[in-house]
Amino acid sequence: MIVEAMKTMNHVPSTSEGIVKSILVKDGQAVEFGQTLIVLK
Amino acid sequence: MFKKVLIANRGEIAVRVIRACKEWGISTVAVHSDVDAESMHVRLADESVCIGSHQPQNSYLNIAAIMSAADLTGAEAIHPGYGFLSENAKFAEVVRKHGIKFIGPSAELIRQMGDKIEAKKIAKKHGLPVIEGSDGGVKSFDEAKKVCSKIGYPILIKAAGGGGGKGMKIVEKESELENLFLTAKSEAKKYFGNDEIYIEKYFKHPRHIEVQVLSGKNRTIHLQERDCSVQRRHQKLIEETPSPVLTEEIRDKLLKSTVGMVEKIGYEGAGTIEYIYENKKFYFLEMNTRIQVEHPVTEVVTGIDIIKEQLWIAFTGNTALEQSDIIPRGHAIECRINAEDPSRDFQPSPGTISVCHLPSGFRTRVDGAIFQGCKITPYYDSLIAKLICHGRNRQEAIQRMNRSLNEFVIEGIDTTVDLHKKLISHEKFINSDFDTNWLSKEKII
Repeated sequence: MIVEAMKTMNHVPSTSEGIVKSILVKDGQAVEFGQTLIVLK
Repeated sequence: MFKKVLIANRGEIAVRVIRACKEWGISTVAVHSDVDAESMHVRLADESVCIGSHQPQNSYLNIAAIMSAADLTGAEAIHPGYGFLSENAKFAEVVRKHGIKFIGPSAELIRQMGDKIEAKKIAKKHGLPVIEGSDGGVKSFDEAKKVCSKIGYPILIKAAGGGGGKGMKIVEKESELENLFLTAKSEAKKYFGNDEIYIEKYFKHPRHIEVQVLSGKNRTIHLQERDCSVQRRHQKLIEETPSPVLTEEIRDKLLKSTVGMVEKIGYEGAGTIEYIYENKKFYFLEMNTRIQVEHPVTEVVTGIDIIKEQLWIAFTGNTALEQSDIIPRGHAIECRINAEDPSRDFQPSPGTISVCHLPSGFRTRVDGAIFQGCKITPYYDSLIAKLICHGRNRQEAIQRMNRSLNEFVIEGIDTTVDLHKKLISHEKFINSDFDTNWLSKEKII
């Protein structure tokens, strides 16, 4: 997943292995620190 | 002189231009996005116009909205600052067609220099040494493979319409080429709307050295060089002048050939020619047809206000300065203060500045747009301020920078202030024993 801030594309690596269960954000949506983006199973 | 100038930018550079205008009694118009309504450039300008929402394409890149603001306020000239529309030939052309003066060179020169392949051809034609590479855009992977085996690895893939380090890829060996070639192409398309890419020899220990010029119809002069070799992610972090690594002989040749080239292309305004310097040789990199972030180091050693000279050249067509007016004194260093966390790979750090204390004192200058309580939004560049220190020599400039950085207090967000304290006292910086890859190789914070 890539989070864009201040003209920089920031790669957000997964913290653990798993299968993507659901994606909680839409492309282009503004996100905050600590927000859950993806749920892994 | 112009009676009213519109500044098509935001942040510290908009503030910088407004200050220069004010000293000459020129009325100023700020344009801003909705989220910038409370920002410093809006507060300092005589008038302001909201031109759209926070997304740059709706406001600071919105040519129609900026032209309406100019029309509405009766501005006679537009200063584009850096970034945004500053090197957009279409914008310069639209401004001219509306009978408003674009503070910068002609649209045609912006277009030529903005196309890195064409710029390289022009530089070569006018006697500047250029970097070995593909003579133009590389269309296919097969073509890329041929070019790379000719010049030898490592090589660098760059976007023809790019800048600021975006869309660049280093390829160490042939097996990595296909993957990186395709990624570079798609990134170029995405960021610059142009998937043309080219290939160059990659330098292992390059320094980044650039020459500041001022040029009018009457003559071209230089304001000496800047050394911008402390970089992160191919973006400058510390700049200084004069370069501590050039000999007088090499400097002389660099400055003379730069002025020669700029004279021949009929350039009007302030500009910078960037070079890679390695093993006592310099190679043309690109020309920036606008004011640069690091212009203050040149200003403090030469005593010349480059923004005012831009205004003067735009108004009269000529530069009032002669080469003999440029007598640099001492050494100047600039540290870029970014809203970033250096310990987390320079991850952006937007937020609200809860405490803000700017350094000051003898030969210390801060160009910024920050104040206590201001919001640093995630929508724009992370540069929030620049700290510039001048000394009688490099050692004194470093000592003064160290003192000034220790006075700098910014709370509420992460910044590069602490990193700069470490860099400025680092043995490698003190001895000028580093290249542009220093920070990507060595962990300092």
